[in-house]
Amino acid sequence: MAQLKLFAFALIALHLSLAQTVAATELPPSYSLGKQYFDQGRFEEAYTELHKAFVQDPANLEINFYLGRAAFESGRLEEAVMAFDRILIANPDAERAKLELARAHLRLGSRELAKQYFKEVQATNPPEQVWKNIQQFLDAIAASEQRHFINGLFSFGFSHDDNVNVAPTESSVNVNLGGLTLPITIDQKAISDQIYNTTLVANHIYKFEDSPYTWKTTAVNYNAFYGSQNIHDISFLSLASGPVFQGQNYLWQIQGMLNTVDVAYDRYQSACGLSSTLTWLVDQSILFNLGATVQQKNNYQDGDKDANNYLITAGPVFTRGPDRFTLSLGKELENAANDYNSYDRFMLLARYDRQLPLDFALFASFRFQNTKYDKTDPLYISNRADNVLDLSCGLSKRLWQTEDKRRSLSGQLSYTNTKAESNIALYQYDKNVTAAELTFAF
Amino acid sequence: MTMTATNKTCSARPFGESRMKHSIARTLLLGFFALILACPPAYAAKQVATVVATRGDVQAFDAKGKSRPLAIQTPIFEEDSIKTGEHSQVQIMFSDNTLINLGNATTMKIAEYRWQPEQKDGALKTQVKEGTFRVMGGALTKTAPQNFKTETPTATIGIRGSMYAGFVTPDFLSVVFQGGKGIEVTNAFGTVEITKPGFGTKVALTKPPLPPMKFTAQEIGEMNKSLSGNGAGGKDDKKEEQKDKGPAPKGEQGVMAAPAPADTAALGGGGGQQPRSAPR
Repeated sequence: MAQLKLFAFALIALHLSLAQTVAATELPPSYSLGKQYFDQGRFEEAYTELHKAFVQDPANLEINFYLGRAAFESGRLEEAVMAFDRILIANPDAERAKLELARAHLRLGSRELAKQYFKEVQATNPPEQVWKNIQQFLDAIAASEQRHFINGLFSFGFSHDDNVNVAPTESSVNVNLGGLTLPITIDQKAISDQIYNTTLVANHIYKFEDSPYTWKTTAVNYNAFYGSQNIHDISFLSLASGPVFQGQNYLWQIQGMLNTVDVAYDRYQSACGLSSTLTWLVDQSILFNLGATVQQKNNYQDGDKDANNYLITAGPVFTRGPDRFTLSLGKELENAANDYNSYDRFMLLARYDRQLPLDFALFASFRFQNTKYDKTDPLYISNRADNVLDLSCGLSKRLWQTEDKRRSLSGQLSYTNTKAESNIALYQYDKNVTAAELTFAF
Repeated sequence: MTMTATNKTCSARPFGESRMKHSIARTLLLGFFALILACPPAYAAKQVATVVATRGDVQAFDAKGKSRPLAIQTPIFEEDSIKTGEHSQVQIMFSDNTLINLGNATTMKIAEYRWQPEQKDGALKTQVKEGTFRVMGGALTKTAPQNFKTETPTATIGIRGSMYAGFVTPDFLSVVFQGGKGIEVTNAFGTVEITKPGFGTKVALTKPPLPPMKFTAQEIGEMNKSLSGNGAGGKDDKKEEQKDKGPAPKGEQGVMAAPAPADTAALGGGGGQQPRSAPR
C-alpha cells in the first residue's frame, strides 16, 4: 500500500512537471482577457491582464507585443521599450517591434534612437502605407531638430488717398502774434494722389536645442511712392532682435530695436529702444496681449522733436468659430526736447474679423486716438489737443496656398476714413483711403 | 554473534521479500528523481529575479563560481553573476518589476537585492564589470531610489525612476539616460546629473564624469545593437541604401498608425512659429 502511495506520488510529481511544460505552449487565459481589453481601448486593464500572462509565459512574443502596446498606450513607455526589446532578443528581425520601439523612444525623448529604428525599418521596403507613415515620423523629427526658421511676408499695394497733404478742413487758423490772436487764412487744398507701397517683413528664428528659448530677429521695410506728390515718399526700415520664451500657455519676447524713417529721400528720424510683449493664452478662445516699448527718437529735421517715447498696450483677443474680436488699449508718453512737442496719448483699437466661405474674410475696425500736448506752442494760443478717429473695413481672399500651408498668396481690398479733430484748426482734417493689396506669406 | 544472527536472519528471508525491498528502493529512487524534476532547484541563496528573454549563450555563476546555463524562466539568485557570450543577450525581471537587459559579452553581478513593499524598503546593487546593459527601474525606484545602484569600475549610477543604458570596460563607462526622471553618475572625483533623454556622460578611470553631453547616433546605435537583437543601427549599410528606392508594393506586413499628435507633441513647435500640425 505504501509502495502504491509512493508510486502515485511520483506519478503526480512527474505529471506536474510535464504539465508545466505543456501549459507553457498554450496562451494563458489572462492573455485573452488582456487582448480583449486592449481591443476595447481599456489599456490600463489590458496592461494588468497582459502582465499576468507575461509572468506566466515570458517567452511568448504575442503576449510581449500586446503587453508592450498596452504599456505604451497607458504611458508606461519604459516598460514598452523593455517588452519590445524582449521580442527583438528572440527575433532580431521583428520589424514591427522596431517600429513600436521607435515610437516609444520618440515619446521618451530619445529622438536619435527613434530615428535609427524608423530608418532601419524603412530600409526594408515595407508596404507603401507603412513607408509613408514612417516618413511622416521622420519628417516630424527632422522638423523638431531644425534650428533655423525663416518666415515673413511681402506685400505690394496700390491705394488712393484723397488728402495726401493732410490739408485742414478749416480755411483759417488763429495764431498768437506778440500776445495778439489773429486769424490767418490757410491756403492749402486737399490733394489726392495714388500711392504704391511695398512691405517686407522677414523673421529669422533660431531655436535653441532642448530649450524653451528661441531667438527672433525681425526686419521690416516699408516704402510708399506717391504718384505726383513725391515730397511724401516714405521709406521705413526697422530691425528688432531678442529672445523669446515659450511657456506652457504664454509667449514672452524681449527685443532690442532700431528703426529709421526717410521722407522724400532725406533722413527724417531714427529711433532705438527696447520692447517686450507677452501673449497669454487664457483659454482656447481668449488670448491676452500685453506690450511695452521704450524708444529714443532722433529727429534729423527738427531737433525740438528729439524725444523719449514710452508706450504700453494691453488687450484681449476673443475667438469663437469663424469670428475674432480684438480689443487693444494703449497709453503713450513722449517727452520731447521741447515741451510743446511732448504729448500724452490714449489709444483704443477695436477690430472684428470673420472667416467666410471660399477662403474669404472680412474685417471692420475702429481706432480712436486722443493726444494732449504738454505745452502751448508759441505760435498758438492754447495747448494742442487732438482726437483722431479711423474707421476701416475690408475684404480679403486667400488666392493660393501650398499643401503644407507654409506659403500663401492673398488679396485684400480696404477702405479707411480718417477724421481728425483738434483745438487748433490746422490739425483738423478728413481723408479717405481706398487700397488694394497682394500679400505673399512665406 | 549478533552479526551471524543477522546474516542468518537475512538469509532466512524468502526470495519474494528481497524483490519487494528492491522494488521499494526503485520506487523511492524514481520518486526522488520525479521530485527533482517537478520542483525548481533549491539553492541556499534567495531567488531575486527570473530570466524573461534570452538569446545565445548566457550563464549564471553562483557565489562559489559554479555555473549553470540560463533559459527562459530560470531563476536568478542574489550574488549570481550573469555572463553573456558573443552575440548573446538576456533580460531578467526582479520581483519589483525592475528589468535589466544585458548585451553581448557582458558580465554583471547581483550584489544585493531586497524588496519589502510593505515597509516601502528595498535595494538593488548590481556590479557591471564589462559589456552593455539597459536598466529600467521598477517599484523599488519609487520607494527607495537611493538604494538603487549600478556599480561599474569607474563610477556608480544612481537612478530616480528611470531607464538608462551603458557600456562598460574595466577603465571606462559610457552611460546614456533614456527616459524618466533622471540619473546620477558618481565617483570619487565628481558627480553629474542627467535629466535629458539622449544625453549621457563618459567616465574614465580616476577621472570625474564628463558634463552631460548628447550622444551621437553612432554611439547610441552601437549600444543598442548589443542590447536587443541587431538593435537600432544593427543592420548593414546595404539595407540603408535601399531607402531611396521607396516603399515596395508588397503585402501588408504589419500596420503602423501615422504619428498621432501625442507622438509628436514632445517634438515641440517650430521655434516660436505657429506649432506645426502633426503629419497624418
